[in-house]
Amino acid sequence: MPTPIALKVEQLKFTWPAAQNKSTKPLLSIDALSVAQGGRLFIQGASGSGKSTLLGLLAGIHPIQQGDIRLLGQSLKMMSASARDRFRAQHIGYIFQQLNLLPYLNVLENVQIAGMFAIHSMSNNASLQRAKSVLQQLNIAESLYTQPVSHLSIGQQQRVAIARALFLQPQIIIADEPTSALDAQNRDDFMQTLIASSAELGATLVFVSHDPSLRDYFEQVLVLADGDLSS
Amino acid sequence: MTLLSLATKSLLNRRYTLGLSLLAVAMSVMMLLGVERLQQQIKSGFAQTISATDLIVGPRSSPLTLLLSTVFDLAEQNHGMSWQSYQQIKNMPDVQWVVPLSFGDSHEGYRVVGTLPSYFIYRQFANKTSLSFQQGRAFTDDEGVVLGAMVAQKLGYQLGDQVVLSHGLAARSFSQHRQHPLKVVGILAMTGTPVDKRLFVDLQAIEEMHATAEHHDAHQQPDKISGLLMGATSKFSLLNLLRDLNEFTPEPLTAILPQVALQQLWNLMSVVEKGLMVLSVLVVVTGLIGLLTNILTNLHQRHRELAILRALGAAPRHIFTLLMGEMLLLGCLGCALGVGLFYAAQVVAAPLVQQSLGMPLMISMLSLAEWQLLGLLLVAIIVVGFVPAIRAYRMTLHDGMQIRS
Repeated sequence: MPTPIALKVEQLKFTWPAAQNKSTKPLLSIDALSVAQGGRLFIQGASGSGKSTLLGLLAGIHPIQQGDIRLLGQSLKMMSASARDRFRAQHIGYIFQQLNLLPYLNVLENVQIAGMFAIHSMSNNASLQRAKSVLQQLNIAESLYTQPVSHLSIGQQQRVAIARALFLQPQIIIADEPTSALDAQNRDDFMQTLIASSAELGATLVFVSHDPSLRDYFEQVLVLADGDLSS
Repeated sequence: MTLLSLATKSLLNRRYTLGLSLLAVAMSVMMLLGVERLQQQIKSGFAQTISATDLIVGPRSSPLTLLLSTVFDLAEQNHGMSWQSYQQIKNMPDVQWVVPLSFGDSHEGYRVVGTLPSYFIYRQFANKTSLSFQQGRAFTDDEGVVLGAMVAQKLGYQLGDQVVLSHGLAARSFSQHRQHPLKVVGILAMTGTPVDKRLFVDLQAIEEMHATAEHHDAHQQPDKISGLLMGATSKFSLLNLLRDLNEFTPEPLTAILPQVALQQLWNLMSVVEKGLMVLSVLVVVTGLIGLLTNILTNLHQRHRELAILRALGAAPRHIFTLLMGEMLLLGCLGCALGVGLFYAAQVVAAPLVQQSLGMPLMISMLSLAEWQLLGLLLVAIIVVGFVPAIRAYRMTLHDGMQIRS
């Protein structure tokens, strides 16, 4: 039996509504892309290459205009906006560039908040146990659990961000330039941790960066330039 | 974790800047409630001031001046009415009782009223309640003085104490009736009317104090009094009596129906009160604009926070709910804080109002009208809350998870 496909892009074209009449060339145009469940995709692109837009489409924030994206076999085009929001809450872990965490929540709460918009709510105790176990898995010292996130180093903060992304055990993890604020040592630690924990979960990893030196961590590498995706 | 606890934590994180805006809202709530309550209290206080007196008669003046001078101690009349007129009125048909009043002296800033012992029987308040003595009795001769409850309380007088009256109404008078000290024979119970701020002596005592050494006549009649309270034999004769007195020929007099004059006074006050109400509504609007400005300014700094929530699966309606929830929390907090300030202000203001108006400021539970005002305010805050909530909703819908810095 072949490995199931986690992410499949077909004839995707996207143009911002404001630009629709002015330019004929869409901001983003991808003919075909396919990532197997548990696979790792590296998307490389400079700023302005449409990667934020692609991420917005993958995460279900922006509606699909033309073509389709299928995640875990489900067509995003067929889903309503709120269905996409629910899908994202349940199946996608998302990691931002930096400052991933809410400043007014402590470390544990920042992890637990990932369950807030999920379809199935967890009991407080189950949520707490889950948060502690992912934090432990990511080597966050227990003494930091109830600290405000501002007391953590950038490296620690990004690991808490991974913990939050893993909290609901999503099938897909999307990371948007998560290493850009880290130094070389922290960056390598981060990459190893991210890849190890998503592999352990069997999650598909979509990683966006402008830094080509990170390519080696990934099985599939795609370069996004001027909105066109080429292998 | 729920949206509500998230909203609470987010608010707490911004407590310093929000606190100031919240204080402004709370103070506007306090002002709104304060004006409402003051209006109610003064209105009922006015109506309670005098009862069972059918007519007040005095020298020719405006009805309001007569009321203010005879009942509230808030005006002065330079000229009086003659003793002969008093005698004549007393013997008019349909007149049941007459109590003369003579002003002009004071003690430590409190007014002294020269009158007759019958004053304590006829001068009723609230719903035909007679004055009662908490200690002692009415004066029986020109050596005794009866104190209003507040006078005794503020000045610390006991029965038997000596009191020296001053000529004129100034609190610090240089002209004192030292040669004629009076003895405290009675202290009235608290009434919540201007009676509490008065001292009462026999009409003759006033005359004796003012009599010069040259013609020291112990039993001379006063030649002028300041006014009189009167009861009629029947309600039907009241209007005739009123007309007769206003057309009194020996000298020009003014007679008024106290309840009518009180109503006039209230109407006069209500203009001020309405103005105050408009003013406090404007203060509330200002407070709300301040709060709105604060939230909108914050919204720009919270772009990242909202983007994170979006990434975690929050739908735009969640963001909307979060912002509305925050506003609702702020509104409730502002109202609660305002009510707290309102009661604190009453505790501070009650003795001052009692001192200046002689009316008690009852510190009671919120009235229905006050709850309605609070409800209205909360609705206003919710309406204002739509502005940032809709903005955030649109922001998250358009920008998605992009973080603009």
